[in-house]
Amino acid sequence: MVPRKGVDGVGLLLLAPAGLLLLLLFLAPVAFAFYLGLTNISLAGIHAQHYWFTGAANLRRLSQDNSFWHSLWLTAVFLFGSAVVGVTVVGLALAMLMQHAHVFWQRLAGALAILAWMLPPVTAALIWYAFSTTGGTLSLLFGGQADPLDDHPMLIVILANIWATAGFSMMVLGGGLRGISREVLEAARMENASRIQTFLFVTLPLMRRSLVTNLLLVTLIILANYALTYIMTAGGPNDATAILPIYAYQQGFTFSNLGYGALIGDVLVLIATGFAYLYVRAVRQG
Amino acid sequence: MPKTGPRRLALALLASCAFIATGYRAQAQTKTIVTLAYGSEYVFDTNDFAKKWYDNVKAAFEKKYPDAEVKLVPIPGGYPDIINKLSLLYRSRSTAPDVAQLPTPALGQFQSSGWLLPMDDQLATAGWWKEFPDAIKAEGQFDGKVYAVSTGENDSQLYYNKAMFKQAGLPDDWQPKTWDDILTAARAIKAKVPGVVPLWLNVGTSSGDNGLLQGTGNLLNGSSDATIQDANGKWVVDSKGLREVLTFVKTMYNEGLGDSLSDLFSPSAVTVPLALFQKGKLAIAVGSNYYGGNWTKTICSPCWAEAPQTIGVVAIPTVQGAAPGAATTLGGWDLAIGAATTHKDYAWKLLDVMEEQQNQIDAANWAGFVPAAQSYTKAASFVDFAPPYNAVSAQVLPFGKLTPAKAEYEVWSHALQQATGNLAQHTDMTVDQAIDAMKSYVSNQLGADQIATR
Amino acid sequence: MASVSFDHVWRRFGPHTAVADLCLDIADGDFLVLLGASGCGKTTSLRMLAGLDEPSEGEIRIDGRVVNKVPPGERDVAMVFQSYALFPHMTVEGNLTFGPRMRRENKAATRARIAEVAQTLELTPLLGRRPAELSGGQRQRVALGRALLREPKLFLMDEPLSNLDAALRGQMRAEIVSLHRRLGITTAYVTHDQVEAMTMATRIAIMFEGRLHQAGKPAAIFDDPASLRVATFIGAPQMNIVDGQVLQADGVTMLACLGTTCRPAEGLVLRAPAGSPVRIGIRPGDIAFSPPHPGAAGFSGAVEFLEPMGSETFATMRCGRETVVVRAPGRTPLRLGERVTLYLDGRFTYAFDAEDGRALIDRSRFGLADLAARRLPA
Ligand SMILES: Nc1ncnc2c1ncn2[C@@H]1O[C@H](COP(=O)(O)OP(=O)(O)OP(=O)(O)O)[C@@H](O)[C@H]1O
Ligand SMILES: [Mg+2]
Repeated sequence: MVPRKGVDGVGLLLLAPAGLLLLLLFLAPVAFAFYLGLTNISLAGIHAQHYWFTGAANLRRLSQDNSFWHSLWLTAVFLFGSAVVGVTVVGLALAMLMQHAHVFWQRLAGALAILAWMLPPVTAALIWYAFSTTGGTLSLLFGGQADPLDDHPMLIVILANIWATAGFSMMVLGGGLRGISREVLEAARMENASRIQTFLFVTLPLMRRSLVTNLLLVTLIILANYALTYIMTAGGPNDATAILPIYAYQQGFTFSNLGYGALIGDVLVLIATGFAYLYVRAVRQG
Repeated sequence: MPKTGPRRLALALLASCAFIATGYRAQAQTKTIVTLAYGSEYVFDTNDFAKKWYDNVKAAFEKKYPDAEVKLVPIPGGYPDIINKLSLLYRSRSTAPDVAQLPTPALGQFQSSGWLLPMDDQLATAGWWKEFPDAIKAEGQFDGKVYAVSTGENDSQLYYNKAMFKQAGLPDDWQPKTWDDILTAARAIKAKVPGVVPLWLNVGTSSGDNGLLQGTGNLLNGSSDATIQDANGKWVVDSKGLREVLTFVKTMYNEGLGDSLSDLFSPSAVTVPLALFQKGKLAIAVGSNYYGGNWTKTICSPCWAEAPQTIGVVAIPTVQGAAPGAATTLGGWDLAIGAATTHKDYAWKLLDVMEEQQNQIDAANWAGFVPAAQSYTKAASFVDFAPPYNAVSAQVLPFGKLTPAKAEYEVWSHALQQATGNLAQHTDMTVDQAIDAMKSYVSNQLGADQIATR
Repeated sequence: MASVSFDHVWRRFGPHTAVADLCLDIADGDFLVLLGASGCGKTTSLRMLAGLDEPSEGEIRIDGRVVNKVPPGERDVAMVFQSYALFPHMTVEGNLTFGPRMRRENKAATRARIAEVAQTLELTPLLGRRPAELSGGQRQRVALGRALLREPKLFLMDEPLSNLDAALRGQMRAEIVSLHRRLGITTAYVTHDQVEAMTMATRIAIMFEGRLHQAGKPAAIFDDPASLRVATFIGAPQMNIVDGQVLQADGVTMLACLGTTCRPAEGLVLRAPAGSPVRIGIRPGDIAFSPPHPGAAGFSGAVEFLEPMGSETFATMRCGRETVVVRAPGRTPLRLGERVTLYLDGRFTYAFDAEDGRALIDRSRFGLADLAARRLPA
């Protein structure tokens, strides 16, 4: 029988509960979060229960909030550093190294990478905290009195995120590399291409899809994994690493401005949705 | 499993729910239930102490009032968890606790939500209330009515290592009169006792408002002008007092008298001086009252039997030695009756039991507080719990000043934390720059019309 | 133009030996076909020649120069891979220009060359397409074009036609052969298709399990297989193999099998003592339905199975305990179950050692042309 296109009445009826559940579980909370973002709700206080829709007030505040714009900038730097430069480059380098390594090393590296990725953010944060503050291994490399986490907080936080996510990236990109036929690379060699030329003109273009997919996935993962950053620095020192998720938390829970915090969270949702959309499109295109 | 399985299960569940509900109601007919909500993991030094204390309270109350029963509602987790959970409980009349333990800084928000009941009439009859210092009486007072009463305070004092003082040629019985005296001592330590941190003062944002209460907030209270919110309700972002505090911080960190940034900016910064003292790595600290209790065998966090011989304690002086000669922040926990309570008499009676001497002293000793009632602070069971420290914290308590119990205070506090942190980290930053940054941060967050300069 | 020589070349992968003691020369201008069953080491040998793999032992020389350590780009060889190995992200034109670009060849000259090669291979209308948008044959031509463009001194092709359908394969076969004739470039060509080998090669090298069994002109391999394995590998349908014996009667050496006897042609020497058991091989086309010479002894067989192929029919005959396949004309009168008398031709009857399968009749004294001349029309 030829499968029919479209859904008939019975099919719709059967799908309805699932659809409703999706709506309730996913869309409703998101919609509610967007609504809250436009209210004056606070954690406690007079607006805790008696809050109302305040129209564009929060938006106006957002547009004039230096801390928000600064935080947005920090988020861009953070994502660019950790996802684009860090995870993509490090992940690709690792994947390529692993490709030629002995199976034993491949397995070991794979296991370690997955471990780093699966580690709860608390543990990863504590490891990096100990590693990068005075007396830690990193500080000892610079003479023992250095304090990399506080002197270069963004850099260290980015490194920690790379560390925690590069393994995932290595697995994804490793899969992409394995998808390139050995004979194609050999054909390039036969055509006098040097290693670098082969990498630039053959490997990289063929990895485009894997790279894009990986970049977007990693961006989403890193955005969601802000706990790592929060535990390491709580946004500090002096808000130097107060990326959007942390600023949203600060507004909502430290300053009690739940509504405004929700709005900042909504910005984050929009950014993540943008990346997710790009991701889906990149995957569809193939 | 037969097809009817899930349906049967659901029926069974329903039936058991109904059973529990009826059972509950049957019990409720005989005794009045008074609910008591409290942080079960954050407030006391250990969870066991929290359980012991609330069990004691429950037993004492039920013995005294046999027709009533206390239903404990423990709230696990840290400070934000307690606030969030309490907010949720208060939102519904059915879950709003009759009595709850609330942190002082959040009182304003809870009160303005209409969740708390004034208790001036009952307080008029309570002996312990009359002994509360005025500042502490004021902490639960809004629009002339009292909505919450202290169940333990934290204040701060100066701790110093006597052996290091001797080595640096400083007196064993140190009595600093001004902030300069503190800096002078720290300089002497730096010169004569190598390898130790001369002076600990919490700065930066990593510990939040807690860090301010145990650090620079104490200095502000001893400055020429400690005003945080002026008479018009505006937030003070530039004042003689703030500049004195920031100058102190700048001097201290420019001269290398403070600890490393790693320690200062650590998420657990407030515990650092305790560890440094025990390791013999710290000479002076502006620290909270609970250090002494922590060193006792009872609390043991960490145990340090020799502490009383090694670590001296003295009140934090005011900037130029002006009266009263001692300064400290106040921060603590309060008890309040819920506005939704249906039996406020029992709620008050429970609160009254909790405020009894032994209960308050137990709470102070087990949670690292100073009791508010003056006679309690002089009781041997408190003073002798952690000598000589408790005596000094009791003595400075009446000089304490409160922080505004407003949500906006957190913004102001964060701005001051940033200013002190920045001065400690960037030695080339000026006090003017720090003040400017604070001004722009607070005006950005609260609005330009909400700030004041004095 | 180049000559190649494998000198005791081994290639081992861990415990497994892929190529064992390979000694093989390819003369300048030769079209050598490496023939063998799957997994016998053909690709490995070719890859070592290309420089993509290195011998574990032994030397490979191109024009007398040892190239074991010379990287592929410097050997001036071009390779057509079994999978074509086109760059999927480049157009046909991009694929063709890749090599010249890497070699920094003159752009104008390259463009002219590409136009020329594209013309030859009928790729001109396809230049803007990507490999995914091409048919198998078109891809194959692009791969060939990429190799041609470089004018190498050595062509290496690894089963380039294996993915094509029969018609296209035939066409491409002709094209490659004509290219080779025109350019005269020494070529090593790997296949396991004996038709390709027979039709294209100037020389064939047959490998089994990593070892070279025989190398020579196609006709020589067909007419004078050095072993039972080579004999059965070459020729379709397979050479019939039956049990037999060497007989000595009246001073004449005879081969006995299928209940009859035959005499190897005059001048052929049988290297086996009388009475020893041998394996006798007869190609289906060398069994006749009429006596090849008067008085020849025949044997009887019953038609068991008929495979009509159009221009010819292959009949499976049961002869006592043995069965043999016989080639009959296309419109054969043979019927299933029919009993007929068949005849052997001593000149084209092969004998192999029962134990190691080595050929027992020394035909080297005959010129191959000679042998072919003796081959009678069916
Ligand atoms: N990289 C390798 N590692 C291990 N064994 C290998 C490797 N390459 C080839 N072999 C083995 O060597 C033997 C010869 O392989 P080769 O690819 O040369 O065969 P082939 O004659 O080209 O076969 P086909 O006709 O199937 O392509 C095979 O048994 C193969 O499994
Ligand atoms: Mg092969």
